Amino acid sequence: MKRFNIIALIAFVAVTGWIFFFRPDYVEAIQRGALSVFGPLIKGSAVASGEGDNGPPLDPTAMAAELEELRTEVTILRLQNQQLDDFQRDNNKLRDQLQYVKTSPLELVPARVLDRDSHTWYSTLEIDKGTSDGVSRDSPVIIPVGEDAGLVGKVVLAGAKKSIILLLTDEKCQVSASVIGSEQRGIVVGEQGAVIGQRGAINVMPFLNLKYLQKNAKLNPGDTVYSSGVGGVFPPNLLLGTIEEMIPGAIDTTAKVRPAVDFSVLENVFIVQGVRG
Amino acid sequence: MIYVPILFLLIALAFAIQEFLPVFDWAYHARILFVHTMFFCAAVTVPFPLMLLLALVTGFVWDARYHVPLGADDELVFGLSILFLGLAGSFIQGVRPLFRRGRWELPVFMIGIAALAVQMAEYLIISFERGGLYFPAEIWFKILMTSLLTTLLAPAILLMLSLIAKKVNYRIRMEGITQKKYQYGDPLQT
Repeated sequence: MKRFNIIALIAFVAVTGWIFFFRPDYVEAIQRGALSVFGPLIKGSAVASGEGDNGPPLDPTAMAAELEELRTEVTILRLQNQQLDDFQRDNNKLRDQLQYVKTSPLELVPARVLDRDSHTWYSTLEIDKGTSDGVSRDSPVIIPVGEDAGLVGKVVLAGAKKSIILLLTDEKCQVSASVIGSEQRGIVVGEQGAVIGQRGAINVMPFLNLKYLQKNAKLNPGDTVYSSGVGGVFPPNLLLGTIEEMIPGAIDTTAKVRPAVDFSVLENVFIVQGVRG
Repeated sequence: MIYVPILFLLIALAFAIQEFLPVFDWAYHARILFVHTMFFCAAVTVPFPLMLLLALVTGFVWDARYHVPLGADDELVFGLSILFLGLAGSFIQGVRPLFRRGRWELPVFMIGIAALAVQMAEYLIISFERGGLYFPAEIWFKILMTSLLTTLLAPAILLMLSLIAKKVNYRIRMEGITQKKYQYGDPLQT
């Protein structure tokens, strides 16, 4: 090996080693910078892929089919009616969300989902709000589910105008939980390998696991699981899901939980900034 | 040596293109690692120290964009991509003479192996950190499909680099797997 190659190799190892030991806040600052630099590209790709604008995808086949249908007046009216229904549904949905923001006991920042699955081994979303909107690291992310706030995940990186969310279905997003009507406490984690993008494995409807329940825990399918607020990251009473089945273990019991949130159709989410009052 | 700045520009362009590449739902969320392909192809054409510099820059920007910060629970630590790209790049360096002689089969194959190795290493680290090896068919499929999709791009990028090298009179040096009759200074064959 030539002397220059050896010097280059030593320099490479030294710089890489130096980078390994970057302080977390320094790494976060670098990543925030990268998120700002890549921000326009992320937004551009979101628009290109139809994420983020919530508009209908421009499918040439569908447009051609639509053109055919538009040749008859009756079909035109039917399509218009259908479109009006869609608008009304979207309008109702947005109105509900607006109402939820007003009435919720939580201080919320609405955000739009820009990108999903941008990381190979983690279940993540990228949203269009960042520190300039009051978003900070570890902020819980929710959506309204009926009268409740359904937990989506937490912010793992807050850039100036973009943030990355780790979804509840990821094994690394752990939430202390309690079951309504019971004294049982446990930790909700993503089911290993059963989540979209979760360590590469796929399932259309990912499940969660409520771990570390007492061995003799008496819980029933359909029981509702909420965050308990222990640990301080997630406020209490965020809806996590409902129990599907109990899986007894040697020293404790695990409950399989169906998430309250449908993670495959997320378009708008809310970042929790705090509790009102 | 305008070839080197061109390589850095191409890596930057690869990062921009990467943002627009979709995830393939039908292939268990496999994706094209365009930046990796660009780096591996570039690694075939440059001397060892320059390959390390490319690995440093590419790995650093990749982690700045795609590293998921989990705080104390960090599994794939920031900077790990630099190490993986450096190792894979060193591995690929061995086939430079073959590429220069116009033999692209082995370089393309090696690029596929390198893409596979980087993903496997990341997955094994995650599994080790989480305390359990978990290898369902879906994971194999995802890793293999990602490697395959990544590899399929390699010939086009190698062709492009080869044409650029020819245009700017850049010579790919003879180091690695070669025979004595192919010495440094041979004309570039494409």
